[in-house]
Amino acid sequence: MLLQIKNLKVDYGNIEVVRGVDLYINKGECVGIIGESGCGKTTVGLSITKLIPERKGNISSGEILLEDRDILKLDPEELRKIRGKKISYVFQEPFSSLNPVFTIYEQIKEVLEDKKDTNSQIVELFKSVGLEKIIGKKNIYPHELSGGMQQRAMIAMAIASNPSLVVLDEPTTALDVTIQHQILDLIAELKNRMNLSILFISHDLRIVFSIADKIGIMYAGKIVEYGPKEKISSNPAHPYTIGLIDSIPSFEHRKKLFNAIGGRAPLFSDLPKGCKFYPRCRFRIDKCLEKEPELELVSDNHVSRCIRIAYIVSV
Amino acid sequence: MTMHLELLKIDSLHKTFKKHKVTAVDNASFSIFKGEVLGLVGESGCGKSTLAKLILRLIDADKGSIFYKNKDLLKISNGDMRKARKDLQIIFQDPYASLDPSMRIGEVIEEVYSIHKNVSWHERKNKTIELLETVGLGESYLNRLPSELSGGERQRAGIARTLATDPEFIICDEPVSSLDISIQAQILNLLIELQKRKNLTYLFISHDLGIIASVCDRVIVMRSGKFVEEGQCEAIFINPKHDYTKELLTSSIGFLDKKPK
Amino acid sequence: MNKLTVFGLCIVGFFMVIAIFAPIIAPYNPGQIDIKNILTAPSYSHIFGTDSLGRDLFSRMVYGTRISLMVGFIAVGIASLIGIALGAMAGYYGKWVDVIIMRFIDIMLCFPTFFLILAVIALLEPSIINIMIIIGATSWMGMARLMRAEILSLKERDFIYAERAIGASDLRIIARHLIPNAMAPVLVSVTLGIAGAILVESSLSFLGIGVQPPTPSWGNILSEGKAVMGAGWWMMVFPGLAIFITVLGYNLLGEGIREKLLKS
Repeated sequence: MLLQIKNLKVDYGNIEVVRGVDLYINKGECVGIIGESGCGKTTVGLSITKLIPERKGNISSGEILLEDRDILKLDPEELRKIRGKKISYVFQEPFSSLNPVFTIYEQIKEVLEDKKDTNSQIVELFKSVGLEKIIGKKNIYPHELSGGMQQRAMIAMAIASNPSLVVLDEPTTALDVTIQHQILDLIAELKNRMNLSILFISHDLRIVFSIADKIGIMYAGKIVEYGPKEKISSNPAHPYTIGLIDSIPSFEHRKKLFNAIGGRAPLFSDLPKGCKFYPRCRFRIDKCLEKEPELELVSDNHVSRCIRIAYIVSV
Repeated sequence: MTMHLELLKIDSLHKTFKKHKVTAVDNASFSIFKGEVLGLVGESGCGKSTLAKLILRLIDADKGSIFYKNKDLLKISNGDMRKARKDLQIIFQDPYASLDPSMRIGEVIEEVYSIHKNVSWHERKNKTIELLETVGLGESYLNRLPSELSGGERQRAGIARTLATDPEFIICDEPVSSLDISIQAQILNLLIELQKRKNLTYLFISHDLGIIASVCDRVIVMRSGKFVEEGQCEAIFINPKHDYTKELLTSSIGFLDKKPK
Repeated sequence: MNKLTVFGLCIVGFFMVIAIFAPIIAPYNPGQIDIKNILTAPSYSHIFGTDSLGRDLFSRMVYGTRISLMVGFIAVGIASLIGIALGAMAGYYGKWVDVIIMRFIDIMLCFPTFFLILAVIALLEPSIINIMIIIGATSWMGMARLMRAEILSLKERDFIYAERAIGASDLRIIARHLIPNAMAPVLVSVTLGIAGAILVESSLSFLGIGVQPPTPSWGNILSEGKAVMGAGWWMMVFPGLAIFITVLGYNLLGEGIREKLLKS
């Protein structure tokens, strides 16, 4: 097991936004987290190397074990060695993640572990992320690249230090569909070639389903369903997942109404009693109000936070 | 569906932004028929939003003509255009940016009535409430500010304002692309329902082929200011002719069954 | 709100109360001459002393507050009207309207304002109304520029397109949507402008071409005090302090508002 997140809880000024998340990532595996805005998915990603702004957020409990070492207990110096080296990040906006006053070469050189023969290393990196065009062009600045190229450069930086884990947080959301497709292909290819472990965070089911091996669906600060991609796509066992899948617009849909989820996501400051999805759920019964359900086994490796799994799976 | 009445006919519409020397819309010509949903798909910066604003004269076209019921909108006076706006409406992408942050939802809608005087003074409040209910909000939203609403609720309020003039033709400019997927489906449902119930005509702009496929009858594919392909949705999706359309399709139809490479 | 802003607000409020309730607060009629008590030092019966005509300085200061604040408010009101209207027009219509208004602003800014005021007053009669108009007419340029900049960024926002799409007239868009949303930074300018106008009024009155005696204003009391500086220090200290504290109050308040806006 490469990374284990156990019972992670994070609060922002007394409001708990990650309310106990467990997540496991094996070597060479891509785990996707799907969730809508404000469900806490980005916070989970940031928590892994304690990147949450200290004044605002606070990890109140939990363990994050990277190869059996608890990251949350490390001192700042050790933490710094892990950030960007053993665990690297790619965020949504490549342009704001790159420093505008340094060239791409300089920025990549910065993160290389082995400072000898940096040039050939960078050439290798550029080749592997499809940036052949700028090989040898040492004075290229971020703004001279297109959005897709910038994101490729970000990915080059993320893999430059041979990390154990790459956290990709909405890496393609800001890009056009054709570019998005290319970047996803690149990520899939790198994952296979370098045996990368990836945590892929996105609101877009289509993208996550196309790239992840295992998928966790997050709602109101907790994972509500988790399992291998095939099982979740063919046999979703949580009403929220079913609603999300029904909401995907596609050609098969042709002018029919969507079987959409009603209402809106609850505010963390005002969470409903019992099951947090109850107010929007199409399978709800009174018993759902009694207490928040635990994750229950649907089948091997497939769990769902719902008391009506048996019924849902049968229909 | 009968679709012979040509509602809007755009003829070689052209717009170049001089400052940036970009031709945003390059000789666009097309027709929209009464009661149809025409999709306009393309990637960011292809000129699709500019085209929307040109049609409603929110920005000035360089040349071309826009016939609405055989009247050239580019040739009528500003005053007549303001009246014509009653029939031609637009729903914007970002519902937060498209509502005046200092106005309450009720005021936003009542303002439309006070501009067009299409509803008598004492009926305005009732009409407003009725309209809010049509879009799935209610009386309780009358006195709320846009900042107190969620993204989906704001877009509903925006749609209510659009409907207040009782338009015939609505441009939906990426109406759901800033919304979460569950809310996106709700809003698409609302738009589909309204279109069917009121026999509205939509020009539906989106970058997402899935959304275009699920709501449109016909589709135009746009790239760098030019139309590359136009046709019935079925034809375009099943048998695309242009390379760019093919590329868009292979890039975006992943959906659920796609296996990672 | 930080402590300094609250302090500024207290000062501003304090002088407002004095101005509004001047007849109640003032113990004497400010014009009442008492030749038996000329230039008496502060005492129980005259807490700020009396002036060279034996008038109660405290009462004159209290009524002077009225005049000084009124000049400040109305002058800035005039400046705001001009500045907001021209700035909004320049920003909204752009093109030649913008060019003309902006060049006009540049020209106005070329004149040393104070000397322009001196010149105009020399032509006109120095009355309170003229003073207010002239201060207003020469201090609107900053506000116009501020307004224009705000409008320029606001008018590209979707909600303005939305207003135009529903058929709103230009006047309605400017007056009901653009200006209200652009007011926040202008408010800072207004607050600071009041301080500036009070200073200008005081300076003019001090030079004898502002508010004319016997109407009391802080500036002309100061001016009268200048003549008897050796014999009656109170004639200069109290109006000087009043001007100083008021200007400080408005400036603190303005800065406070600015900071608050920057944060949000």
